[in-house]
Amino acid sequence: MRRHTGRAVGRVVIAVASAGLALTMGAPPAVAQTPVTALGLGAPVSPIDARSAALGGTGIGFETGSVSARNPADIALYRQPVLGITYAPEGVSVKGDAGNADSGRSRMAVLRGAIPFDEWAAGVAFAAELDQDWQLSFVDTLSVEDGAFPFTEQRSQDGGLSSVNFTLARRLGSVSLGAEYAIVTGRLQQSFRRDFEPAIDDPSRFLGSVSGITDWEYSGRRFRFGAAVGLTDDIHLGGDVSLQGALTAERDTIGAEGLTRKFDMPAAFELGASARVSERLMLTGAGGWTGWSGAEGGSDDFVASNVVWAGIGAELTGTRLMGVNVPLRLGLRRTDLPFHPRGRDQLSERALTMGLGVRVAEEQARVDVAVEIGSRGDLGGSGVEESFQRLSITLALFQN
Amino acid sequence: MRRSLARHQRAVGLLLAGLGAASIGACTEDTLTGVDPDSAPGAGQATVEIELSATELPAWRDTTYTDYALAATSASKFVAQTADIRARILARFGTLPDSVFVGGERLAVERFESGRLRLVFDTTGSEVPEAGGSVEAYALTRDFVTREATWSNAADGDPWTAPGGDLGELLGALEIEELAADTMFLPLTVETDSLLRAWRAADGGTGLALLSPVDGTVLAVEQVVLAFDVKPVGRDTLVETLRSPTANTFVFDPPTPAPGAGLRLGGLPAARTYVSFELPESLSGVELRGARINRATLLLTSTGTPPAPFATTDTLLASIFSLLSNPFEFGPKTPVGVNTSNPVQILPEDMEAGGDLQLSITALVQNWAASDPDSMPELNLGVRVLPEGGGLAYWEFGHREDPARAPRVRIVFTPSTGFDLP
Repeated sequence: MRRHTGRAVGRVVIAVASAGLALTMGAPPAVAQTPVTALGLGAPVSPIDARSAALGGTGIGFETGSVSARNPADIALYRQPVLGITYAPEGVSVKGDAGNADSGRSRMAVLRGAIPFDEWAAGVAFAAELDQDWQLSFVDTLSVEDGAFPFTEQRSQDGGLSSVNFTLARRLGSVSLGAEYAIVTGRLQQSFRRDFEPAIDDPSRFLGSVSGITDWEYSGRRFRFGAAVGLTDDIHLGGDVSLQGALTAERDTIGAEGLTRKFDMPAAFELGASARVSERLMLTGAGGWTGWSGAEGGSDDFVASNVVWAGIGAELTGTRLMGVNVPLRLGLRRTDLPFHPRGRDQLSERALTMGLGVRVAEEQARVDVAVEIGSRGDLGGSGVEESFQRLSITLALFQN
Repeated sequence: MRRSLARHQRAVGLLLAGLGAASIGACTEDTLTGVDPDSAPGAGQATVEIELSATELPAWRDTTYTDYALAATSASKFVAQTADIRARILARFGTLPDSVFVGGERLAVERFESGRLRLVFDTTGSEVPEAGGSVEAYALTRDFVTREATWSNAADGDPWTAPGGDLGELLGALEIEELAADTMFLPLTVETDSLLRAWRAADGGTGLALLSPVDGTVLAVEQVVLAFDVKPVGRDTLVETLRSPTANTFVFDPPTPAPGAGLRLGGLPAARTYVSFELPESLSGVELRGARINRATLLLTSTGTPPAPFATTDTLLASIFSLLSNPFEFGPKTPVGVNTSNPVQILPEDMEAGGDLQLSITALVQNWAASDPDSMPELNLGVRVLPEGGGLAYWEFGHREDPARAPRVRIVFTPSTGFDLP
């Protein structure tokens, strides 16, 4: 008599690490407790500064230039060289049927420099594009004929897409025109590791650890054209159009078979406007569309959909804090997210935004801070939900 | 101008501090812990278990080879007289001296004054009746060939006149009330000088046999040594001298059954199980070669308890080892590689119930999975008991054609991670 009976033989009889198996076998995708950075090609990052973030995520159509990397025409609005960096960490609570899991992300959203000369301006910007960072761990037990083996598993993706943008803009009276060429680049490392403990009922039995790692390298390019118009001294408009080539992803791992994937990257347009309605109050609004639906890589698990976004904001100037002028900002924004589990609703992100700014170092540097409180997706509809609190800090240096 | 420069430096310092802080924390994400395993995203590959019966492996071959240890080379030799078995030790002492050293001087032997056999027992493998047992030493009237002697034959094709050995004169006897000590002496009660002179003259002559006339006696004897007292020429003192046998074996009845189709481990002559098989390159679309092998086990299913006296209640050890060539081409003398795992216990209670002997072949299958298909198409391995020749007991296991008890290979493995982008 065998110790174990009734087993199927000659085939896979037991499978574990269910989520991984489900993905491998093409079963419905896991959705709960999934960070948005794990969906599709990741979560888009708005390459905007803290002022724009506080004003509803707009960053386009301002009367003055911004150190965001949206409208290439905006750098022509600067009268002096500028260098700005925006750092945007956020706390995240990823929701799931089994409860919430807290995490945190940090990223450099944009580093923008511009030098005006005569009616021209040239600039370069390093901008975040897609955030693919996530890592998680869980414990489970593998139950096989040889025993029950508890294990700890860690999975992670480290990397994402960013762009290096070369911009040239010219002012023509009240109109500014800009053109930009961007090299889209990035790396991604995917890894997992599973460490088994000895069998529960027989510690002399053990399973070896398992790990895997793969590196990807991205390359692509993008053209962007923009214009900014001062309709009056108080009303300004801006807009831009992006055309992007295919994104190439090459698997570059020693010992692994090479693989090249191509994704059609989206065209996009954005519009924004600002109006100074009183000496102290400026209102702004912006929106845009990105044709992400063509970027679908053929995955059974995720769908890419077009994105529409909009934001509004108000800036109150003239407020003094400890003897310093401190603009106060408030805004709201809503944006779709391009990737969502197949068969589920598209995710949207909603946030209340606020912030302030202060000039320091005798007007030669500016510090802007924004706080965004919002949520992404909903567990019932899109199968993915997370709440977030993002802090954006911009340090900008001006040369007088 | 200086003030402007100072302001500028402060601003640059502020920016650099910001850049530093940003670069430290750029593009990172904290670990999400305690995620539900059933819904965790990512490309963690499943760890799966497969079990393959030998009947499902077309290239599977298995067999039993014997003679890796004989009664003559067994560490313990047996004297037994029970309903299940009779066993006798045969020995020959062929190096008796004609001179001895005394005080640095070599002196001729004038006389063998007395003699005795020193017997060292394995008390855990021995038993004597409550009323006591005995061991008797008889001169053999017929020579034997050490590696060929059996209960029936003195040598191959040369039967004893009386099975068990042709006994002559009783040389001595040892009464054993209980096995209180592991060393006892059986005194030679015949005229020692003439006996040992005859043995010396004939290189041990036909030797002697040790047997027990008392039913219920089983004595595992680890050592038989001839001890004798020599009187040198010209000296009044006696010199004790020891000699190990130049030929030593034991014969037993009934003889060990020849192996059938079942796979045997142990016994005398010692049997090994040799196996050769090929694993499939993939199963159900899952690549096996190239996968991470977490654990691999060869399962041999016991056919039950062997007949007496070859059954045992002792726990034996089984060891599995690699073979450097195909054993079905090179036979019993196929070169042996390394042990692929630590020895495992063969538990009698499991084997009696027809349970599985589970032998780890993880290292072997890992080598296979990591190798090129052309360089390692098949796996060749052997199983033996440790130590070989330790006793008559053996266990048998089902072979490929035994549908209920065919060997199986169980593998827990994790296929290569199929990282991809969506």
